[in-house]
Amino acid sequence: MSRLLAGRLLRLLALVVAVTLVCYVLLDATPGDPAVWRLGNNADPAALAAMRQEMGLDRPVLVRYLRWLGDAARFDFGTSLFTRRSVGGLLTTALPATIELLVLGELLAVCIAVPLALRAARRPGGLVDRGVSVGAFAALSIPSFVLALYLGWIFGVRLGWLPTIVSHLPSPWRDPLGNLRQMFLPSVTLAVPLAAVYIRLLRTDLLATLSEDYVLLATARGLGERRIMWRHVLRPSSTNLVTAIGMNVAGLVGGAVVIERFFAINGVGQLLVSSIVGKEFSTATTIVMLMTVTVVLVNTIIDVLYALVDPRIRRAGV
Amino acid sequence: MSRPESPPLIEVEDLVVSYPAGRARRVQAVSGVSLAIASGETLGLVGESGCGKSTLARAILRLVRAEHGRVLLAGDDPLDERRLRRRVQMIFQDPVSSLNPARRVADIVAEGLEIWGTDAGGSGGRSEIVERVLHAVGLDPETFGARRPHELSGGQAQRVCLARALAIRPEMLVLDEPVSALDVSVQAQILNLLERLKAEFGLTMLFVSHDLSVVRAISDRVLVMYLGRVCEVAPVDELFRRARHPYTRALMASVPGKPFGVPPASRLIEGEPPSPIDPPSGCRFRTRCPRADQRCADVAPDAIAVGEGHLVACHHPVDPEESHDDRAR
Amino acid sequence: MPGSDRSRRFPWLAWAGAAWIALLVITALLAPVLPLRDPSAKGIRTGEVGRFESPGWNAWFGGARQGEDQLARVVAGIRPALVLGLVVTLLGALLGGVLGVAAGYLRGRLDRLAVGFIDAALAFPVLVLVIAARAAFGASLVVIIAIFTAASIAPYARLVRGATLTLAERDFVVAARAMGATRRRILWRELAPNLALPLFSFACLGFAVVILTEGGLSFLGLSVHELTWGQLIAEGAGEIRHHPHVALIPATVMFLTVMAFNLVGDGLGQLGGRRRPVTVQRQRTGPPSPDAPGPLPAPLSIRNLSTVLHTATGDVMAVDDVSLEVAAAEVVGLVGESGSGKTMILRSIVGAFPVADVSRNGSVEVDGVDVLRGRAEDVQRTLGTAVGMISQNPLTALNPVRRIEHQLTEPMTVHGGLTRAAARRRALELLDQVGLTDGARRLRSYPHELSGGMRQRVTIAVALANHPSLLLADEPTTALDVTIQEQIVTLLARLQDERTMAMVFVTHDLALLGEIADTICVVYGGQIVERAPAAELFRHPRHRYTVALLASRPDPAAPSHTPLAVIPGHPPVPRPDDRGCRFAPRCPAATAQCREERPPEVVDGTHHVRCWHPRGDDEPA
Ligand SMILES: Nc1ncnc2c1ncn2[C@@H]1O[C@H](COP(=O)(O)OP(=O)(O)OP(=O)(O)O)[C@@H](O)[C@H]1O
Ligand code: SF4
Ligand code: SF4
Ligand SMILES: [Mg+2]
Repeated sequence: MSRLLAGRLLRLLALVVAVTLVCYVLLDATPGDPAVWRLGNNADPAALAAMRQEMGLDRPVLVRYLRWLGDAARFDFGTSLFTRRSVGGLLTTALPATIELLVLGELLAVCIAVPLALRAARRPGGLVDRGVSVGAFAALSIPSFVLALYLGWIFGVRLGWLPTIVSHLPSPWRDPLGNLRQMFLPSVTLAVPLAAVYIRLLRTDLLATLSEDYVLLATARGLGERRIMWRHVLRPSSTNLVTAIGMNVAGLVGGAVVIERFFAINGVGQLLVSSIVGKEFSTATTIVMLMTVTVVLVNTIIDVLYALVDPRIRRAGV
Repeated sequence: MSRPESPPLIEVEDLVVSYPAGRARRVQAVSGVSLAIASGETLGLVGESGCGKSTLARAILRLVRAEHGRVLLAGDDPLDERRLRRRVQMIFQDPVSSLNPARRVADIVAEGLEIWGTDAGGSGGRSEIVERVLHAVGLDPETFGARRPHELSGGQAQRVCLARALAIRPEMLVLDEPVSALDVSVQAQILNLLERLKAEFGLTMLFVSHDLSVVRAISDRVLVMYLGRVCEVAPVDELFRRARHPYTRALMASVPGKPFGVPPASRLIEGEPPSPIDPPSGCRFRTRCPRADQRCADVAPDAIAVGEGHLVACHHPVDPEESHDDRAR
Repeated sequence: MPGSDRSRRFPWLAWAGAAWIALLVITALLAPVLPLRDPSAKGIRTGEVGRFESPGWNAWFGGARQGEDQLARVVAGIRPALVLGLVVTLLGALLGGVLGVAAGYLRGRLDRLAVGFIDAALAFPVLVLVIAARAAFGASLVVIIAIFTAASIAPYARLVRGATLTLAERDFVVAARAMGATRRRILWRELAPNLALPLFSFACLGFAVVILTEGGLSFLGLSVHELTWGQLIAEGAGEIRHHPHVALIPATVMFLTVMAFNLVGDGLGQLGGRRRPVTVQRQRTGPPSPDAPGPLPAPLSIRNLSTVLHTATGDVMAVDDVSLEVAAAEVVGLVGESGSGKTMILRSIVGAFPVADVSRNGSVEVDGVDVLRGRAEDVQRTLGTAVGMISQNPLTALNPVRRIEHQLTEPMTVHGGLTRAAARRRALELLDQVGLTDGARRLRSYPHELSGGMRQRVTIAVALANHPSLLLADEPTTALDVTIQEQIVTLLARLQDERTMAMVFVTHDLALLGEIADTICVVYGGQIVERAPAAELFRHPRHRYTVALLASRPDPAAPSHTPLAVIPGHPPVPRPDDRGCRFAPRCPAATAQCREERPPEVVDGTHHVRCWHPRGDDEPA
């Protein structure tokens, strides 16, 4: 078990190093000189050189990267070149909103997808199934900013029920309702296409499970349809769904950028974009590292979840 | 039927094959099997599921790698596995899934000719050979040549598999449960066809099956396996009349309808085969054997000759005079 | 016919998608010769289109901020969208496909490297790549294409690697290896043709993703300088309050295009999918049959039962006019080849079918309760208490994710009215009765922890949970080894005898029925063609099919290599409009009458046979 864990950890480290290195080097390759941006185009060369040295930009890229990596290993992720704020501090401000967005979005997507998929699979080719299937296609095909546009227009402008912009987001612990009110539209925007993916996956797997002998036998035993679907069919059909939820995490942070921008949420996505554009080496690389670690961690958790969902996997060992 | 003067076409010497079984463990599917098949002979291979029949069949064609032991073809070790596959062809249990769903019957049958050249199929061009072998297996080339595998019934698909194998005129067929997936009424058709093709093409056959009646109908000699080891080998009539191994007897007694006349009830064996990951010490059958004693647990029995071409691996073989037909017991 | 258009649904929508794509391609090609305005011309200067002009005859899609003609701009946006999608998809599929096949087929170190690359690439945010490359090389279409391609290699590689791994284990690939095929040949002739469809289908979905992603980048202001739909929408988004058409029209075009690719991709995926949709059933029952049910409340009484399955390949008459009475403590055996309808007779009793759309006619009564037309609660209670069922495959008969305890106690708590604790006590007794020792531990097990024989014992225990008066056993031993088969048959015979249950035992092995059944029914083409007491059937088979079936088994008394008696041809798929006798094409005694008219049921005491020319007792078997 410990050997297994050690192997996993090693792979994670290798992955983190590879991904962050690529990110750092890529950023360095982009044109533009932060020192010039800081002092202006007409600054005198001596001052520029001094500024570069102060910023640590005078040394070769690999040296700078290794230094960052060494610091990062001690949980010191550096400071922003411009604002001088610590990257850790920047992240503490940006992370909660993004995490909340992702968690709410995933939760909502699953809550939409599971009942609909169950209804659709009960009568494949029936009215509900067709409706759900066409709806899922539409949801998959609509760009998220267009969806946000619609939702904002209907619920914000027309009905005036919900704010179209997130500002002064209250803490979910202190004012959960106020927090939810603000995060509702962004989460829905994130959830709709996700739910479509989940519905399609789950429906296929449900149909496969429905043809298994044990489901036919449950029918033969006189159990009701609802009981059969929820008790006997759903769990064995959900391994692919669980995988998909895990695999989405990386993509979601990217997808969340558009939503964060649209609803003016100061989240990690926006921070990432601005730090890349501004050649903020430490900030950008740290975020990328964070994303990689999250993806790997989530997938490890998924492996454990698998075993809960499907005991057959327990014996095989992860 | 085994003619000592003709050299064995296939010899298997002390073959061991294992698969990874997770967590750095391995399961021996075949543990030290030796056998020989004479040219022109049909050897039947019987045993319960998981006893290593298929693995042995595949190892002969080197489709799985042997850990130990070797397979000789007409006396020498063909170092190049492709040369071996030119002369020995294989037929699988599920005929439909062993045909490429994306190709047509005529192309499937011609596959060997494409690999080995048209000369491998004897005289005539590609389409002539394809027509000839399709006729030989009882399919009309006009009707079936353009069909795809999913448009065939199980029996028809198995005929196509046979045609594909025969197109390059092999010397031997390894048949892994070739009729188990077929309907009862179609099984007889394929068995008769196999007998006819064997005579027509001068084939040697290894016929793997779990069905004793089928094996009895088609084999010259029969080999019984249990958990990766050989229990008993004998010419077919000898085996079905004077089986000596307790497991062979148990198998015969379990066949519905008792066609082989082994006294019922007294031979019903208990329990299920143990896991091959952790096989019993000594004789592998001892956990279910009514005759097992301490010696069986300590020492693995060697095969001993008990008659002309009749080998038994058992410390306490059944007395042949305990007749099969003694239903009174 | 309801359900018949189900199989055509996806192609229909996929065609619509394909038509939309074709329309876009044609428009883009013809754009230079179409009477369109210059997309960059400012209408407020030329006076042709007004600022934010509403859609109308002058400008079909309306005007933008500077009076640009939106129709012309939307048309101009087709080209970059299609070029981007096409090039990225082609390159991504090609590179990813090659990598995936190589990794999945050659395995070894290359595979480990490829998996490492795929993991890293999937974890790396595309956004970083886009912004960095854009800053380094400028915002041209070529740069975006390069980045998107780089990002799409990993998903394609993963898909193809997975598909290759499963294909390489399939029998036909092993068969090709056994033929002596070289690696390259296996790759090109065996694997590639079977990978093409899933890859193509995935590529269409990928195309959609490319267009969506570009839209998102445009919205963030991170896309190309060229006029794309994404930019049109982003530009119009600010005017959504007062001039919604500026954003909404391009958004709709983009939405339709993405949807079109998704539909085509999905349609292709359906073509390749081998899974047949299967489900909980919607059933239609015909009017009650004219025969009034008999006065005796037998455990099972079937009268003139016909079951038609409405499948994608046409209607199948799975059960055709079957009547069957099973008395208390009687064992009735059903024997027939695969597809003859044995299982469907059982399934018709309990109303559980492998296809969605089924019609049942006639009547089925269990303990006097009409299970075809009764109220759902009554039927469910009857099935739950009076009927036990065992199915062929012990590997799939138990739910893999639930403990034995749940599965065994569920019938007792739902229909038997027992408490949890009482049900648990009964469960332990039952396990003991079916010969499983160490019951407490078995209850905590999951099915995969038991061997095939043990699982079959558990399914028997589940079937017996509520003391059924009728046990339906569908090939309970076919998947088991002969030695285990004997144990299970002995167990079933003992339980049936102890509990004086009626039992219907289905198998394809006539000899096995000789050991257990009182009455044997021979099933062919959905009909019971012959029914007789077991001994009588073996001694005097009358139906031509029964005679042939008995003769086609290898005779244990004959020397080996004796040619077997053969029934030519293969079993039919019974259809509702079949005429005459379904065995006629294979029957040695068939006459013109056999081919034209349904054979009558001839009754001779307890011996029923459906044949125009049954075999006489003097004829040789
Ligand atoms: N690819 C594999 N990986 C791991 N174990 C395997 C593999 N193939 C077979 N085995 C195991 O090897 C043993 C022998 O299997 P084999 O398929 O040779 O048996 P068999 O007698 O042909 O059975 P059946 O009648 O079911 O086909 C079994 O325990 C089986 O589980
Ligand atoms: S060696 Fe012993 S245990 Fe094995 S079969 Fe012979 S008597 Fe039975
Ligand atoms: S009805 Fe005619 S075709 Fe059918 S089994 Fe009897 S004799 Fe043969
Ligand atoms: Mg096998």
